[in-house]
Amino acid sequence: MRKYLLKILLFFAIVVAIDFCFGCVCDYMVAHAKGGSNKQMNDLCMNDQYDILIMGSSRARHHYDSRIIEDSLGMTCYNAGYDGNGIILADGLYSIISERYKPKLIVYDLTLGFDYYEYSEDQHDTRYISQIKPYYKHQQIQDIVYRISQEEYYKLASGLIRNNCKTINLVKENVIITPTDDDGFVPLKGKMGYEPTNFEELAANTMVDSTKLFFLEDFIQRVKSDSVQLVFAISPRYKSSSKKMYLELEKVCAKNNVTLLDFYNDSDLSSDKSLYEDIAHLNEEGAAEFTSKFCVALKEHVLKN
Amino acid sequence: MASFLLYMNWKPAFAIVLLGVTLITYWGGRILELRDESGEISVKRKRLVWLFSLLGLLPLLVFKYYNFINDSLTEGLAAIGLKFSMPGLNWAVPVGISFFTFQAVGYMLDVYHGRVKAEKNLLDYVLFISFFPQVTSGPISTAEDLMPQIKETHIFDYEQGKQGLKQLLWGMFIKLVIADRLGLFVDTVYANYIHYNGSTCFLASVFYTLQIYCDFAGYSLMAIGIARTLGFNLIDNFRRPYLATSITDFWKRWHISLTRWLTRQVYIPMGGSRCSKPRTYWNIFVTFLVSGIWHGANWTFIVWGCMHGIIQIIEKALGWQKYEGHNWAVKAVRICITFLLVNFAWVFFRMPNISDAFAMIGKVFTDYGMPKLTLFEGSEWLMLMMGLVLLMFKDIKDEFLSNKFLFLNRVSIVRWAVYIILFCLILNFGVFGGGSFIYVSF
Repeated sequence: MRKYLLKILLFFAIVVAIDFCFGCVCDYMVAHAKGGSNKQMNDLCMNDQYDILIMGSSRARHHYDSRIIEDSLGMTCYNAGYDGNGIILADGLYSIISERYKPKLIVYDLTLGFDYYEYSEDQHDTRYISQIKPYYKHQQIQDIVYRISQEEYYKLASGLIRNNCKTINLVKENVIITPTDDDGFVPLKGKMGYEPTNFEELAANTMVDSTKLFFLEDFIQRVKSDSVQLVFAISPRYKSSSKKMYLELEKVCAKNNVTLLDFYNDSDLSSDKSLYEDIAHLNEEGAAEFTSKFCVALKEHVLKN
Repeated sequence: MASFLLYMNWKPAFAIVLLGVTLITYWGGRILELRDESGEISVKRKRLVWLFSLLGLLPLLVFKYYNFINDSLTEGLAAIGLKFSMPGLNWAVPVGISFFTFQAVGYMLDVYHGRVKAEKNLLDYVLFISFFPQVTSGPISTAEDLMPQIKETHIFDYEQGKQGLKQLLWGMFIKLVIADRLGLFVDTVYANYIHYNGSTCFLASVFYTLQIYCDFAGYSLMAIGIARTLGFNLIDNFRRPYLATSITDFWKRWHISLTRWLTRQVYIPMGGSRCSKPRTYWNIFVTFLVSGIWHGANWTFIVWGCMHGIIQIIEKALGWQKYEGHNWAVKAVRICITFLLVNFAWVFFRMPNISDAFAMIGKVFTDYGMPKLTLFEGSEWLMLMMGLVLLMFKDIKDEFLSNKFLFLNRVSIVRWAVYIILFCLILNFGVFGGGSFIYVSF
């Protein structure tokens, strides 16, 4: 029995040593990525400065053409929207960025499932911390992870788990220099060739996610305390029938005195199928049209002074 | 007690069901044996065994099949113009109910048939039914196998402990690194198969075939491994099923403990193969119909079970049940055909209803195009392929090359390196929080 336990102990001692070394190598590779998402994230968080930051989910990433905004408003702009993410990632990103500089304006594109409601019953909020895990040494990131899941917080100590499923990409990003989008905006090229059958964004009985609500409030307070102008926006969605569900988010904006620019059921944009790649995402043509319209509204309601 | 407490961890109320089934079958076994000793007439014993079997199966029937039977009856009556509806039950199904019920009822039937003596010690019997490594997803043990082990004093055995940890490690690897990653692709395509072309649907079906193997065999290995470290030997539940050369052979390798249960409690009591050919075919069909029903309360499972039964009847009629030749080409072709047949049947098993299953299979043969590989990133494909190559290497080595690659076991530094690499791969490539075990829901 003693021999058995000693061997188990030795096994775990070797694994811990490998884990530590692996974590150090991965941290180095993240910091020195020559391309890909880590390079992009490093530039956003550690190097570049922009007047305007667009934040939110894939709807932000594919709907706001940074170049049109730059040309229209005469300010530098970066689209920091991330597919499958929302307020939790945005709060984390802003907390890192704001250590270095304060942008002039943040536009946050709201999405029901990523910012206020549970996305689905089987999806835990831990899915939103994957992008900010590489910056785990920042106290704010540790606080965010701890709030979402204590288990995930303790897992940050393991280099192997912290970089779970990322190793091959990290190696690739350190070996192959791939061009990164310099303004973050990723246009979608396709056109929706079918008529959807379900126009609901989320089921009407979806539960409110208290964690997301906490981070939404935290994000607002964090940005406002830095005296950065904050605008919430809702970009168009094809013939959506879920507008009512945004009422709660509208109340949050009103309570915190944050401007909300609502294009969700915009008469020009929300019913023209040729402007969409799928029910939730505008294509390149739709994004250009929407961004132009958005800039006009931004000038009129936010930047008039 | 520890096993029961662990079971209560799922939902305390479920433990009442587990306890109920345990007590019914315990007393059933005692009474059936007492009647046997007192020389009661067999008709009375037969009635008693039916009574206790029905009582033991009652929670399973209520929790798992009530809604299905109710809905099917309502729909059937509505089809002939009769309106009749009973209220549905909105209860969660107790975890592992199919497994522990079959183990408990199987014990009682074994007592009835005189294969084992009735257990007198209630606590030992409670442990037999609720033994924590196997209570949620098997393997389904027999009293012959497990009861003597429960009664004996366990002294730590180094070799057994080591083997247990090896099985635990491999089980974790195939579950977390392979099954759960495959599941990400499978879930995406199966949920929206209408948006994918035939080759993507076919790829997803192959992935599901591999996923369910890695998921269930992974669980079984972990259960067997944990039991082995505690000094218990449970039945091996899988023996490289996708290297089977016929469907009959497949069922000797897949979910072995269930096949054994069905053979002992359904197939043999009906006459097995010691009767006329048509009767034997009927016995096979009924056995696999029961297997389908056991897997779930849905017509898809019944179709799945019937398909396996019918194919085995055809194999038996044509004498294709097994291949004992040494022609590698024939063997390879048979393995591929068996895999495709099993794969085809799993589509019914996975789909929520029969029409969707047919629609997806229809897509495979009519909607041509390249598979949508972009559902995974390049790195995800690499991780997946690495896991699948390791799985194939191990299964092929164990099946055909058992006396090759001996250095993997003999040289301790190589052996340790393999264990450590596997463990690190689990931590780095495993899908954590990817979902529970597929068979837990059965």
